[in-house]
Amino acid sequence: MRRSFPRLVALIVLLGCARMPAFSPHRADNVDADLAAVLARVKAAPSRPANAAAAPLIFAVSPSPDATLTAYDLAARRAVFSVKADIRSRVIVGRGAIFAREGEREFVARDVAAGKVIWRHAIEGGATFLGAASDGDGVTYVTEESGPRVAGRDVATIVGLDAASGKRRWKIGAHSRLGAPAAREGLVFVPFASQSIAVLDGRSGEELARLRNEDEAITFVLSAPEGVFYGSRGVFRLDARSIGGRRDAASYASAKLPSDPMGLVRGLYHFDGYNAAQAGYTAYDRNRLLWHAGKGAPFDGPVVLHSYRFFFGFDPASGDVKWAYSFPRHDVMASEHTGTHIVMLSSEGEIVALDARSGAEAWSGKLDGRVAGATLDVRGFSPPERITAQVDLRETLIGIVWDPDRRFEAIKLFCVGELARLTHPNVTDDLIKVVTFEKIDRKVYEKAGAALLERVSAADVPLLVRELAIRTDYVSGARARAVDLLARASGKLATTDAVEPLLAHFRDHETALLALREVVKALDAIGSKTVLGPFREFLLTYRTDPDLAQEPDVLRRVCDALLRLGIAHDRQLLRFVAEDPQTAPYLRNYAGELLRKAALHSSL
Amino acid sequence: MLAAASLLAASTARAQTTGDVGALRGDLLGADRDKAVAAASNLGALAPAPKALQALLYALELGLPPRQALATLEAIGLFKDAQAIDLLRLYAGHRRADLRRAALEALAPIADARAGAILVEALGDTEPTVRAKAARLCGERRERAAEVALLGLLARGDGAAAEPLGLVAGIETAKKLVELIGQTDDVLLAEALGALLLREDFGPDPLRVELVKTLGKLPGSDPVAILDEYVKVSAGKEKEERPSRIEAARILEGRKAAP
Repeated sequence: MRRSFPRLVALIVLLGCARMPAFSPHRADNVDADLAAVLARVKAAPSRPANAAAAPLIFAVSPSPDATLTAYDLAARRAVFSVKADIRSRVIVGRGAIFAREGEREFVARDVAAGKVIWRHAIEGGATFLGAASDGDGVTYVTEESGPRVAGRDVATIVGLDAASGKRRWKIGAHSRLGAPAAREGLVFVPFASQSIAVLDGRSGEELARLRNEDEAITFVLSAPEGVFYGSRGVFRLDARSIGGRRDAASYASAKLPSDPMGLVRGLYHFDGYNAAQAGYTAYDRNRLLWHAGKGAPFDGPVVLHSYRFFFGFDPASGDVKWAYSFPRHDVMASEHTGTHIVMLSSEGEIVALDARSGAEAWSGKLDGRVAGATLDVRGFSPPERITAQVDLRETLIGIVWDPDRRFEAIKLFCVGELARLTHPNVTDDLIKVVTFEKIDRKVYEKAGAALLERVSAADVPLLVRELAIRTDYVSGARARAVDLLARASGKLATTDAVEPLLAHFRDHETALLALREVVKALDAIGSKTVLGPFREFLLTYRTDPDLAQEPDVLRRVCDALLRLGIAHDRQLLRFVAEDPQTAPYLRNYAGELLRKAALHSSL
Repeated sequence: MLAAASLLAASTARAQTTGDVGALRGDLLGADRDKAVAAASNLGALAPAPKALQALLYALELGLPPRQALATLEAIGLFKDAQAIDLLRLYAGHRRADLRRAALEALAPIADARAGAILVEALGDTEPTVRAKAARLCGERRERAAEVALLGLLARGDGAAAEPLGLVAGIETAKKLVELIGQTDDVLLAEALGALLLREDFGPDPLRVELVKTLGKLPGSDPVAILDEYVKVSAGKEKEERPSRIEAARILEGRKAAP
């Protein structure tokens, strides 16, 4: 029987692989048969928590010193246990046990029901702990050598333990970097050498398959009830198409992120398995994307951006923000997508569940004590229907912009951008309220102002006039705000309705010089002759004033308007200004030049 | 050349001292700033001569550098003439605080309601020195229209409003002041109540009694000094001793007896 040469080579390679140690540089990757064998073992699972009782549990770690680990049952609304524990990593949830690095060098299993220690294991391998995973039967962790690499020595180590006893099943060193693993159905998925995933047998440590991706780094592998996912800037679903090794050949998706020039929205779909800091609870837990994979569509429902106290649900196809939620006062330390809801836990132990499609609050509770970080084993948690009033996106965005917490400039800028994109007729008024808000940050003011100027239309004139009518008065505490922007908007619309209130600001010494410049420009642009009297008076009063030289455009514009709108008498006035030695030199020159040009123009 | 210069200097000196309004006006509008300031002062000294006032108003209307404008405003104030109100209103809203203060000072002696209204408006100035000037002038003028604004300033803790408020307050404002105890600064409240209590035109006496009682509740030495003075100045004012004086004396005895 004749065999073709390529088939023979493939057979030799396959036979060779079976004997090769894990992470061998000689192992073939993206082999159909290997992947098929792995996929045959990955079963679809119901969307439910990982723990054996399938109870929606939160495992919260309090701040050091005297750190405690508290388990809280959302369904029962009660703490399951609270024990002292020096937790130094994320808590990994298995079936009957939870696992975490405790202290410097111990990997500890605790009973899910009571938090009691089941076993302790001295961490092997390198000094840097990168993460762990459990499929219930076994538990696997990865460490990395710290310090400079030495040729020929292992860079990383992966250790497989029996979940019930803590006995070591296997230990494998690797000459290339390994990342935090994922596990299910007796399989361990390990990010390997930045672009690959090695799939190991959980009992033996034997490498069963290797996938390599050509056009995107693989920084995470994630096991969810809906399947196994991996990627970095986007999400690959592990399926038969993974063999393609490229985005376009695989089942790959990345959400279209909302427009965000400040770089607030980062496409972080899961923890970076190579980043040791992310093996514990860090700021990453407060700045990431929450998503849920659908069976057909790459993302089921909105993708949710979590940024400290704020959540934004957006359409992954268009990037349009659909809802926003602002957690009151405290930072949200941990969050999770349950499939239907977003569950979040604040630094003060407050727990809220939002409907993932609408952003409406559906459930709330509280665990005792402060929270430094938490693992939320809440897949499938869907609280009984108790949706509060639907959240108004406009109002929420404005509320975030007005939030007194000054740490969140980037979020506020993002909200202003989203507000400006809305088509609701009240948005112009909203933007006016933003720019006239007492404690507005400068950058937010500028962005909202730019949006206002772009958006303002003739229908908004009453809003501008209403706002311009506010004058500064110390007794009443009233303060004219955003006069410069309101003047620019009025000038853009050339509305005569704004002339009177603009003139009031023009005469008002409380109007800052920069705003005064915009007021004069606006009045000049509107072109009403009612400005002539006040302009003449102002020019004479301030022509000698050195302070006005700091913003020379003010009086220059006044001169322009008098020449353009005025009568012969105004030319005489300008001549006097140009010739009188008391006039500030810059203005004398300008008025003289203006008259010369006008004379030249009329002679032509 | 030297002779001509000497002649010009002599002529200027003569104008400055003899009241040659035309020459003084020329100096005021001239480029020599010292001479202009002196001319403004000399024109002011000619008050109430109408031509001198016209010269000052004319120069100010044409626009003067700040130093000359300040001297001109001071000179105009000496005329106490309502003709100046419109121009002083303009300067009461000038972008320079020193000129605003000078304009208010010039407005204050003018017996015209328009002048009072400008002073009251200036109580809303965000510059504290302008507000303080306006408040003092309102008090001196007994500008009743300033009551509400001064009460607002006191409530905001503006110390400059306390005494002037006492000087202009009527019965209703006095009642409001009594209610401010515990809500505003004790020292400022004592100052306002003291100014009110010591006014000859304020009454009736039952309201004075309330003021005295309120002062008696305020801590510190200021209320004691005010009550002490009240006891002295109100002695023998009427045939029968005022109940408010009796109450003040009683409180003083109690305060002095307290350890």
